[in-house]
Amino acid sequence: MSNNEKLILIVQNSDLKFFFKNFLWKTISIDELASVLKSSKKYIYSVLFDFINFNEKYLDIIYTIKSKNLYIDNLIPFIGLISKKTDRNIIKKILFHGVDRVIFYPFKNQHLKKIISEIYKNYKDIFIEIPTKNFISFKITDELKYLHIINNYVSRLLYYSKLPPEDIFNLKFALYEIGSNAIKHKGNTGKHISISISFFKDKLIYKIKDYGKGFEKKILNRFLNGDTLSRLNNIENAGGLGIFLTNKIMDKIIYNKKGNYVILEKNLLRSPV
Amino acid sequence: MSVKIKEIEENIILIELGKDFIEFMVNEFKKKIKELNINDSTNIIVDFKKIKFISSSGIASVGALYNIMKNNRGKLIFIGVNSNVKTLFNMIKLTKEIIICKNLKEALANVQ
Repeated sequence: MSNNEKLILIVQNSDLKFFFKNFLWKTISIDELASVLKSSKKYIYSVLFDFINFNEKYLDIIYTIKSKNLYIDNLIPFIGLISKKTDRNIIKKILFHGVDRVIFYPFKNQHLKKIISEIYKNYKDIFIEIPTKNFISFKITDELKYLHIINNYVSRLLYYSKLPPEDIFNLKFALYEIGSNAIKHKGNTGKHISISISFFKDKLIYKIKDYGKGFEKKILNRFLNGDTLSRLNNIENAGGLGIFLTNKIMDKIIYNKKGNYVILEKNLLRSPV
Repeated sequence: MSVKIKEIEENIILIELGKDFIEFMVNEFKKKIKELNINDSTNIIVDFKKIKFISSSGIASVGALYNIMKNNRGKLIFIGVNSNVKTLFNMIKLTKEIIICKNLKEALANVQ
């Protein structure tokens, strides 16, 4: 399986496996699912459970994924297939356990396509590596909306830290700025931008890589060396402003020579930002 | 529409910004500013109270508005600026150049 393959996981129903072949999604068994979740190398796009043949074991799996922080709210949708005959209490249970959407079976191919595309319209072209406890990585296309989705995830991640809201805001800002810079400078390489976030008790590390020609450091120097008024006069050219502010927010910023790979570090024990 | 513009009194324009002042809203903001007929005595009040997130392009676009207004008799006033956004404005000393009021009432008193 290639890293970029969209992955959807269906268990038990062989008819459904056949059906979903049309969508180019991978179908695997519950045991395979467990092994995929253990790996940090595979990319996961969504999890779809076949609840037509209801099995409590699936709810345990969902619980495990969530409790291990493997489930990323808003980023990996959980979908459950049910039939019109499915007991209402079971449906309630499924939704209570965190399934985002249920789809009734049987359905027409076209109808399902419509529902699926509706669910995924916000997730197109974003690939998420299954996170381990302290690490998550994303590959995104050049659309800023994905950056915004990632930022919302970071927000939730940081929410459980004891950081003041102002620091959380600034850390989101820094990620957005460096990420959007990567999008701006990536050129027409057709390659994705990689963003990884490592989160420790005392430190947050962002790593952002694009495949463009890099950014011009003179833009940053011009902005850093200008006085307040000249900064404001040149503010219309936002180039440099985001990096300037990010420099103020983060404790360490390291660029590679080319300027298309950047590591940002923030010491979380020292506050405020 | 995430940028709302209305003339609340003669020569006083209120600009209300939406939730996320990032590229999509920035383009709308710039377009609407261009369409405004700003003269020497136009006062502009920018309301930030709905803002949850701002990018550097958002900051740059209000900075550009400051540049349009700085030599005019009319005032540029920001209202409803939360502490997160204010911290960013502080970092580039924008708060030293622009009047920041708590709310519309205070801004109107400042204009008159």
